Amino acid sequence: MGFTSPWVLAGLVTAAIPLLLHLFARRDPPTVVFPAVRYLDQTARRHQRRLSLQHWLLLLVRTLLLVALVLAAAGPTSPGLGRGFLGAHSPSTLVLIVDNSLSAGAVHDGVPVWDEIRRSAKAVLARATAADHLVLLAADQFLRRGEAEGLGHILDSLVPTSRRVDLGDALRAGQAILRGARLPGEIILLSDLQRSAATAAAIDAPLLVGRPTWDPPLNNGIAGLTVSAQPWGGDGGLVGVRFTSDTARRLPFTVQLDDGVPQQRLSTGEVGHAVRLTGVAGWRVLRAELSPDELRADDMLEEAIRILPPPEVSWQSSDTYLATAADVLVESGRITLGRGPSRISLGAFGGAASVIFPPSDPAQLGALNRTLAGRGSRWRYGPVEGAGILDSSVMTTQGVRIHRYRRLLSQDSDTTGVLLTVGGSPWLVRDEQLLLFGSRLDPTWTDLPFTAGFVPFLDRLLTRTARGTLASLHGYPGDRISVPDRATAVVVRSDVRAVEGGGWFVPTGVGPHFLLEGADTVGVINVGFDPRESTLERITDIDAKQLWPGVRFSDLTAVAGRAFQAGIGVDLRGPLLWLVALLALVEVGLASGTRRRS
Amino acid sequence: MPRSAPSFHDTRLDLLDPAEIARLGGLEVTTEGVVEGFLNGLHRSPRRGFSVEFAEHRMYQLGDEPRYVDWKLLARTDRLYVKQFEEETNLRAMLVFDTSRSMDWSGAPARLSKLAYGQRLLAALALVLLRQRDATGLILFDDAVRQVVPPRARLPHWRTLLGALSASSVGRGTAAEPALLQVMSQLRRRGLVVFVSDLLMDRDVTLKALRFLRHRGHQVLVLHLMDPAERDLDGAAETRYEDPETGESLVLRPADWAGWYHETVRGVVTQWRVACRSHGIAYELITTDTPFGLALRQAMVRSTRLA
Repeated sequence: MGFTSPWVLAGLVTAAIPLLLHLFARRDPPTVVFPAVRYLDQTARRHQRRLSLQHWLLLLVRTLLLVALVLAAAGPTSPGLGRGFLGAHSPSTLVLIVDNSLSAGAVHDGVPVWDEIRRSAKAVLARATAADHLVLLAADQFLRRGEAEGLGHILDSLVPTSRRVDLGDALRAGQAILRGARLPGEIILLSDLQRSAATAAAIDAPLLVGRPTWDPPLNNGIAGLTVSAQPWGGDGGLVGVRFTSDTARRLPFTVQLDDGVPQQRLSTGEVGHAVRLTGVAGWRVLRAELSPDELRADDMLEEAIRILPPPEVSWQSSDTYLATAADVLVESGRITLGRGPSRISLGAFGGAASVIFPPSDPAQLGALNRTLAGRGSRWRYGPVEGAGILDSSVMTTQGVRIHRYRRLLSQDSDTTGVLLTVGGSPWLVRDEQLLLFGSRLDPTWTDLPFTAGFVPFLDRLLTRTARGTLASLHGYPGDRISVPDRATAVVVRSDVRAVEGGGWFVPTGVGPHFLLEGADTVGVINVGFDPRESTLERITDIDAKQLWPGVRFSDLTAVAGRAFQAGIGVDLRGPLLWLVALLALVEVGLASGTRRRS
Repeated sequence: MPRSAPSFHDTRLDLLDPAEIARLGGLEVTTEGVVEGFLNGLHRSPRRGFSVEFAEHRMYQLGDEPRYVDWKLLARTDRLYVKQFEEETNLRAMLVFDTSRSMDWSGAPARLSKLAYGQRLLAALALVLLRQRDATGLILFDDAVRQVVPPRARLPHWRTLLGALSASSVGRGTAAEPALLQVMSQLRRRGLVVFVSDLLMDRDVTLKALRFLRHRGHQVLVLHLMDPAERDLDGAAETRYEDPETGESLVLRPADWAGWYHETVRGVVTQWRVACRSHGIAYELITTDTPFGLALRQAMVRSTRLA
């Protein structure tokens, strides 16, 4: 037996009051001279036994009355008694965790798992009383407190989300709620009980898990897309699709760029089965799709990719090595020669972006630094430094020897924008629309022009780096994703949400989330679903008991009948109050019997 | 108008509250008033009261009332004779009064104690008897016989009786048998015995003595005095009740016992009444809040019947 308010049990000392009063009242009665004592004596001899019995009975009844009252006030509960016999359960705290993760959208016999979970949850809530404290916890991790009816409406509005639920985390959250609760309570978890979602949690609160009893269906899902480096040029790019599959068969899938022609392939999900797609310049939505199965939510995935036309570049023909490489890129269609305002100027200021090299003549250094200052750059060229090795993880520039370079000096403590270094010293920096090299690209300064990676290096420099970096981020629903400093808003379909650059953004759904800087799109967060949600295999009860010792299991349809029982028990206040009423009646009867004689 | 105190001339004192009468004056004055009221009431009653059967003549003496002069005999014999009647010559009454400690108790300050009530009742009864020219005597007793006043028929004898009653002090225990047996020596012929007590005594012994008196031809009237508080136990809290005569005590809650106690008292009264009736003894229960007139009437009716 337990008590919801055990401190009230201190009131049991009041049960001694009748006995104390009895003893106290007998201690020193006043003496009255009364001639007819012989009549009293006759009366007492005749009725003493009966009166004593009545007095002791009255004393017993009053003591029991006080004990029953105190016990009732303490809120006794008993787990061992049947609820049907004794009525409602005791007031308790119930943490109801409903798993509306992506996998809850799986269909069995034409009915989504979520519908069964919701029906079971509402049946549990229907057994709650007004005195219960109810907390609803869903995949979005919001704590919802309220009455059963209100929570029922919330359940109606919930649908399977694209989020993953870590059941261990959810149970720990439920346990934290119970630890802060005044009333005893239990946790009820209603879930499809995916093995991938079940993580260990030390739960000491009563835990009842409701799960389906049928075998989970086989499922194939898209685990993710592998897209070649962006932005894509006019020749497009490669797309690979990764699968999560319960079968080893080759699966047909379709990839499509916007409203372009769908490309269908058969694949086992290996990246090697890539598809080349092309499209017009701009932000494009890439859609990959599998054949429909019992879980539709993981059969389609969308990501945004950036396609740009070849950049327009101008260069100085006097820079022999640079000009030669540029010609190669022009011939291959990677860049075009141009003089327009959107061009990238190699070796001179002008156009949309400029790639600047240190002057070969030291006398021009001052003029160059003044120009940099005039353009608002915080970088300046410093003195010439000796030889070194280029610090780079990129294959094309790795280990390249630098014979000499001018030290790039930041005018403040901000050293962001450093792209490559030599011996820790900046060698290539980006400052807004300027790219500053520490060495000129000829053999007297560096061996880079002699290396095989020189042309790819220049290609990457012109097609991507010089045109500004594009933020292409990935995440899952519910993840905290750090947005770029310059981002001011995130657009999800037509929904625009303001964000603070450098802050966090938590996506709630899947699909491309475009990052805006003012009116310009400066990046994208491609939000997919956690591939673990596609694995519908259910954890066995034995394995789950190892993760959550003490857990009890129930079929989803039978959870309500077992709710409010374990550890909480049946509320005994009602029966005790009935007992109090009965004892009060007996007391009144005995006392009035005494009064009738008087 | 403020209500004036009752006077002997305009108020039936015999019907007033005994305690009120006691406050009007001494035993003598108040008793005369009670008797006056009682006798006036009797005259208006169709029952004239006493036997008027002629018994004998005796020589006229100074002071005899002229109405009792036998005028026919005067005419024949030229001598003055007065007529004497049966009751006036034959009835001898003995008043036996219990002055034990239990009698000196009142359940309320505003009520007379049983002793005071009995004194006034017996004084009135004696006056009535003496006015009828019945020889009246008095025995006072507690655990022994304390005083014996032999019966006399003269009216001034009332003051002697009154004096004995007034001087009666509270005794200790109660033993009625010696007093009742003492009556035998005072009443040689058949007479009337009026036994006034609260009857808190050994019933069997007392009844035995009363039966003996009855056996000797005396008429016996038992006036059982009881305070109302002795009939109905009152109070709520637990109380120790102490017997003033024996010192024995009993602790109980009146609220618990009142009902059963009342039954016991009623049973005791019934037992006395039945026991007395079965032996030709008259019995009257008189509570101390009963007006003297009513009590006196009950006593006189009984005594007249017995006579």
